[in-house]
Amino acid sequence: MTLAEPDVDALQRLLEGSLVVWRLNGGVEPITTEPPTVLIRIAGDPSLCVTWRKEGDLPACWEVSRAEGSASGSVGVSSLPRRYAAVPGMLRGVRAALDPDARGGRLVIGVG
Amino acid sequence: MSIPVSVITGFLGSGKTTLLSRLLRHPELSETAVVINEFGEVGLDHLLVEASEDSIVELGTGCLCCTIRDDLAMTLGDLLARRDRGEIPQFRRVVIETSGLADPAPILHVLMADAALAERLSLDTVITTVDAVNGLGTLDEHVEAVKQAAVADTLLITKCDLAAAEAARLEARLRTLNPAAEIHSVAHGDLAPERLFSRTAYSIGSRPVEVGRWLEEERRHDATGHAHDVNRHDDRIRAFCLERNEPVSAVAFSLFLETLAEHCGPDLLRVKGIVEIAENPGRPAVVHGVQHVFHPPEWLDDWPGQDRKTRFVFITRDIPEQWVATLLELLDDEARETSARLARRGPTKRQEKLRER
Repeated sequence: MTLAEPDVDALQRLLEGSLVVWRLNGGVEPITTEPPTVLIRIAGDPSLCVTWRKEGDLPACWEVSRAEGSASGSVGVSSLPRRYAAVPGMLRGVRAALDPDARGGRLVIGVG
Repeated sequence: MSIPVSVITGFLGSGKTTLLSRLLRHPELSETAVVINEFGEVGLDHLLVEASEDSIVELGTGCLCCTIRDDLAMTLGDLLARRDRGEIPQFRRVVIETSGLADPAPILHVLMADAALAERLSLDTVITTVDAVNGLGTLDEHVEAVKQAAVADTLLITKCDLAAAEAARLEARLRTLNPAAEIHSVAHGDLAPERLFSRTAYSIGSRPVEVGRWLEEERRHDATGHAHDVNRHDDRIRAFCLERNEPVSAVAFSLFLETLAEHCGPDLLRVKGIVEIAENPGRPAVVHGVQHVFHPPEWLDDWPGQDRKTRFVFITRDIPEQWVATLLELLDDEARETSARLARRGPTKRQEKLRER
């Protein structure tokens, strides 16, 4: 998947795996393929929308928005999106939104 | 030339101390400093040159024994300082015995990341003892035992004389848990030192032929077909290999390691890899990490064999293999797209001015 060739399946795989890594009980559903958009549900309830956005000549970005709705009904976006330039930022933003108390680690490159 | 450091770990009662007691009697270890928990545990009285309240004693074989203090880094630093002052013999190797309940990762981190120690010491190999009689149950009940086995370069199945059938089952389970480790069966700690301490498992830059074997994945857990028992700690442990035909951009490689460390550091039990970096073709980078701490990449002059695929071997806990693969793919694609976009845009005015200078 590239910023020029969005693929909603890869986005779904990435975020589903992230929920496992973060030990969050949830799932990821594809919503649209153009633009590639997925819905993250936590414990069955809609929680976040994540989409890839490219408008005109502007650089592409990832958008993360709060979602609202019921477990079985329609889902809408309830807050202005936060935008991230690349995957690492998007993952950090998603995790912070789903698990505000989580603390990420830091890579240490040893000296020997 | 740095002094190699070997770590001996293993759960309580696994025969770690018995192994060490036997090893200390070998003249081959005469130039070794051994860092242990307590002298009394190892039964050194009859070997002591003289009784001493000092934390460092010299044995009849010439080997040094030092008790570990609260801070491993301080203990090792003190050892080196006393060596430099000529107060103790010029040891050529260090062996550290961990406590039975220890998570070996913090010890490895000290050896990998402490700048002062890294100038003088280099992590050589991790040896883990696992008890044939109780090992299977220990792995079921104690996550520390699973972690000790997962990070080992060499696994020693001890007490084989007492439980031959269990030893075979244990070996099969250990091969699934840590496919790349060497496994030996040992009775009464009887094993020649050269089989343990000549491996330089962590110093592979100077031994490119070892890299292929070092990265070898003999079996994959999913191929065994056995039922998963959620109560078994090692069923959460996965060893898998990630391969790529295409080179990885340098930026993507850095972001990959950073993202792994950020999101799954403690669960990233061990990572080894040989990576073709797009900006440095034909000179692969060799990486090695324990949780969130990585050795600086070592650069080989050439690939060690015909196979020039980028490959990583992961030993992880609760990390989906597909997530790791998708993450690397996305990061590399983003990095390439960004580079291409910047190339199309051309240099900024500021960059042009800098070039003119």
